Amino acid sequence: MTLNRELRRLFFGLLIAFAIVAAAAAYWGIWERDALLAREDNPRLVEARAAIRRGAIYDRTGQLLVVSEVEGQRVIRRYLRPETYSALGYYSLRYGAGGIESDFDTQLSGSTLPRTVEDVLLNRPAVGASIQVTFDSSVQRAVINAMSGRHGAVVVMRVQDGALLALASLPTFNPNTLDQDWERLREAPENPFFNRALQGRYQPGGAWQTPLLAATLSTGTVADEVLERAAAPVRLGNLVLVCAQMPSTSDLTFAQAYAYGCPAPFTTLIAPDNNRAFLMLPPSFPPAPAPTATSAEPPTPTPTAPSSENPLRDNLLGQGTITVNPVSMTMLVASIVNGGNAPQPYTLAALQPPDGTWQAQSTASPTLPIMTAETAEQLRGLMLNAVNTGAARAAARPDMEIGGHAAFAYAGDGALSWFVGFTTLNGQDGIAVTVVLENTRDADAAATIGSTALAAARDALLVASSPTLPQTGS
Amino acid sequence: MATQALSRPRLALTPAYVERTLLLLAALFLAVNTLALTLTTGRGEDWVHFFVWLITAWAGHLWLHRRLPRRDPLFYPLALFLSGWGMLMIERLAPIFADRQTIWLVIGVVAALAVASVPGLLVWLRNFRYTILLASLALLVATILFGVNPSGQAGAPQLWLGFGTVFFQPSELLKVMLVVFLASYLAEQYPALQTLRSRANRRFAGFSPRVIGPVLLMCGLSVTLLFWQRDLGTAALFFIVLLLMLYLASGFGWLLWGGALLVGAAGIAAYRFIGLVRLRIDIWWNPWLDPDGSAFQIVQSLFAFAAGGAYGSGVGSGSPTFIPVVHSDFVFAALAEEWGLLGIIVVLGCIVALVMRGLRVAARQSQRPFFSLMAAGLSLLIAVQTLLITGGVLKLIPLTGVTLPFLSYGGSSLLMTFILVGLLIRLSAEEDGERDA
Repeated sequence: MTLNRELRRLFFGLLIAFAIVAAAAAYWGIWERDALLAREDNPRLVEARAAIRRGAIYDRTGQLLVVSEVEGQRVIRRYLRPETYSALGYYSLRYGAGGIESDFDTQLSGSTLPRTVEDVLLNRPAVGASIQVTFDSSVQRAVINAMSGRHGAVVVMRVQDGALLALASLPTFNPNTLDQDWERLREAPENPFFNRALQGRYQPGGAWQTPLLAATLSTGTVADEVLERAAAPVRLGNLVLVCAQMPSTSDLTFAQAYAYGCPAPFTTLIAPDNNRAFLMLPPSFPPAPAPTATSAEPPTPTPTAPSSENPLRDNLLGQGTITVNPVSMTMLVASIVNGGNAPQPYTLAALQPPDGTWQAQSTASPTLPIMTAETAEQLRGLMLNAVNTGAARAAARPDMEIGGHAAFAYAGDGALSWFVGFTTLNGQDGIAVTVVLENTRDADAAATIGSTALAAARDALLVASSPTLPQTGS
Repeated sequence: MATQALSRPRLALTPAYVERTLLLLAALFLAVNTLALTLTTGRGEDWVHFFVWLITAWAGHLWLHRRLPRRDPLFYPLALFLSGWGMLMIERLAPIFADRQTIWLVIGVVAALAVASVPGLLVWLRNFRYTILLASLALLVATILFGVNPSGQAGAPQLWLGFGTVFFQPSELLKVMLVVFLASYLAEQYPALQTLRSRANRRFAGFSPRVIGPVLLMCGLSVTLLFWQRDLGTAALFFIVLLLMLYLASGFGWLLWGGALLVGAAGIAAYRFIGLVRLRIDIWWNPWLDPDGSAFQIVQSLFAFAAGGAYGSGVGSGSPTFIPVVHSDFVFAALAEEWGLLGIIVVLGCIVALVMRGLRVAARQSQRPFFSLMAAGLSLLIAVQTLLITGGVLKLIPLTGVTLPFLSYGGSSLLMTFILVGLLIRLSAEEDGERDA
């Protein structure tokens, strides 16, 4: 009997002890679950990501740009075309994703795609959707080759819908060896991780003349009015700003001053009877590209520009506090071809779920009104003239009608060379380009790169006006 | 007569029927999970292990049905269910050890059946308690002198005796023999202990040295040798089981509180003087200080519980192999990851059921103190060992490094746990008729 009493006590004691163990298991498995699973040092996070077979990326012609290959237990991401490195960004288990890989991460990783019951039951790793982007490898290659290693950015956009045909930023990096190169790249003074096309905000300098002229023309100002000493240099602090190309005479019309990239006439817009032209620019001008269409990363200002004690005058010269993004400048140029309406950029052309068929993505957004159709038409003529007779002559091609504008800007201790231009295809369709080169005063180089990009894009669109869906599966 | 004729025949829940039904359920569970594992890993050889388990389980059932028809019907199916689950875990976690674990399972079942069936074994154990314990201690001493570690890793504890490719851990044998010794000795002293208790009739009555001396000597020797080997988990297990059996035999409640204080004091002393204990207590207190270093194992274990959640990831679909030596000490965490809290509750429920049936046998045999204390001691051995390792894996207590009965990888552990079950089956049959000679 005594023994039974002790046994009964032990019985209840053990029951309580086992209940505590079960409660502890519930505590870690239910109560603390989310906190533990979210910890960065939980290797299951990396393993889960490593097991995901991300979708492939194709260009608009159906060429394979990025593919995931299974090697043992891991999936290796391979970037096949060096000319597209800067456009596509990177994907790394250790360092995350950037660029296109980041923008379309949910699609590529398949995190939002429905899964079959079999996949869920067997806990099969997710397979992402393949995507087709609007980039064209041939245009991208032509641009990278034309840049010849110069630092800077190039944006090529189709006017009709805002599809980005090329997006170059140099210097860049090889995403195939990112993990090995990370520290070196991070400390590199030229900052290859900085996507100049998407994140860069540069002083526009003379390139600011195009939006200024658009605003001026919209007030009814006649571009043919002759201005005295229009080619005269302008002082900005210690800097002397001159025409991008010196004209033979000092007295010029607005149109001529714009063609030669002469800054002086534009400083007159500060006069009381003219300054309203400047004020008529939309408050958000140049328009910011839609974040999801290009990059979620916000643009980053370049080094401080030289300035004087007259900030309004500095801004009219495209210096001072004024900065622009290359994509925004391309939208402006595209609006000139498109009757004053700026197409919004996008990069996703089509998507193919795993084991599914390709589906075209209607990612083109409504256009943004920038200027009137009349102003756009006038500006278009002025830009064609600038290529024919002005500082952007290097962009001229015998087989193409190219309009454009070349100019310089100053940031920090260096100079920037700009070219904004377009070519028309038919009707209101065309191609717009922006080139910005760092640490150089070479308008011809910028114009040549711009025209090369336009020619390559035209050829690409002539071959295939619409994206060609890839023939292979994911 | 009329009432008898009208009444429905009652469903006969005979031990054989209950055992057969439970074994079929266990087989169904294992078949479904083996199928899931095959689908996940693409390995077909897991089915060989399953069929070996099935044949062994069925043959054992038929044997018991013939030899011990009045046995407790839960011990055998619970042991087979848990060990089958353990075999599946080893297939999933360390496939290279799966064949070996399956062979040990068969040997274990055969040993359990032999122990349960050999006539006069219990009496023999009772009569030769000193010889058995001293022989076990001799094996332990031999381990200190000639011990090896099957992994061959330098610095790993050398707790095994090697015979070619077969390794045996004497401490596993010792823990069962210690219970046999304690049950036998305390049963012999049981009348004296009861007299002492009733005469003293006070809460803090003590033992006479004549009564307690041999127990302390033998147990002290065992614990000392285990400490020498740095097998602290087994030493702690011995000490706790010793206290609980002394409590059962004497009814002195102060033993539990005094034992707890003694464990606390020993822990403080060990913390100061034994580096391994200090490390384990530090890790237990705050593993997040060094999650990638010394606390990696316990932190990964907690991640496994979190990853498993309520229902688990499914067999073969989790990542429990991030936990070092997961197939041995941390199989409970692997189980949590792949079968979730549900699986944990099922396993704990089975072990609790097994322990409670053992205590039930002890209660029913209360008129025969040796059988009663032995049944209780063996049940406590399973319970305390389970609590020590599950509590350690869950960061409730410092990690002690003992195996989880039936589920962890380890031939010696599995064999001795089955022998323990065999003894419990024999004891359960004793209560209902089959008399030991």
